[in-house]
Amino acid sequence: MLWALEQIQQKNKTFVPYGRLLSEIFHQGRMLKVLKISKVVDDNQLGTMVGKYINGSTLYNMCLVKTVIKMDTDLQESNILSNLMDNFPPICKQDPPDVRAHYVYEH
Amino acid sequence: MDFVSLAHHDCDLSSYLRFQDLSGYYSMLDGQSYKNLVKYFWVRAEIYDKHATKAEEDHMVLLHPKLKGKSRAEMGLKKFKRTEIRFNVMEIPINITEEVIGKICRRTIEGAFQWNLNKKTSDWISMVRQSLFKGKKDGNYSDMEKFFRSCCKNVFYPKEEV
Repeated sequence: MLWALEQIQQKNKTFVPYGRLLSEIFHQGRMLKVLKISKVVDDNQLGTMVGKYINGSTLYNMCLVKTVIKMDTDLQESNILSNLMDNFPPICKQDPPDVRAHYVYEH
Repeated sequence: MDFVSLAHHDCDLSSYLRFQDLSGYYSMLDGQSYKNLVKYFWVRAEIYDKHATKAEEDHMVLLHPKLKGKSRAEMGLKKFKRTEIRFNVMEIPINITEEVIGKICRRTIEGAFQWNLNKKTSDWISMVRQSLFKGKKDGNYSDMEKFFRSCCKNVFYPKEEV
């Protein structure tokens, strides 16, 4: 991640790596909760999106299988958020969420 | 990654995930991404490491020349504990450390990989040959295929150092 940061900022590379990893850090770090409580951002501003799955169809596109078998257990795209972890290390100051929400709203 | 569907199409990756303890990481990948927030992160984030602390100390010495040669505590700066990525969104300061990244991947922060894979008996050899070398067994490789072959030998089938 440090290497990618250096490449993007100092060498003007235009790739955006670790999108899902960073989104999960913001979610688990309770940062998104604060932004949503303060109602200063919505899903459009955050650019909320869901990626595509790698499954049997991908193998077909890579010419590794000749037929794709659809199954009931195939994963579908969904907007379900993962559960918050209890012992996640803090990424920002641990003020009560409503205090932080008020602070964000003020700024 | 839909591992059930891949296994059903003769591409079972579960043994590799077990060795590398990455099943938690891949289950984490299923979910929403916040495109604009992530782009904002990459433009604005800063690395806080030993070089940054040195710059911080130099700045303090420039402002107050009497502090030259003093410790960080004497300069009124916090002790450097670990490398961090610092980021600021809507006035909320955020610090991302190695511990946070390990926790989000649902695994320990040490790496793990599988030693001594046999390139002749590996289950993957036919799939690698099909996808990288268009099914060719040997000889008549283009330069790019020679490069892939070298990568396969050195990266996917590493030998244990004695």
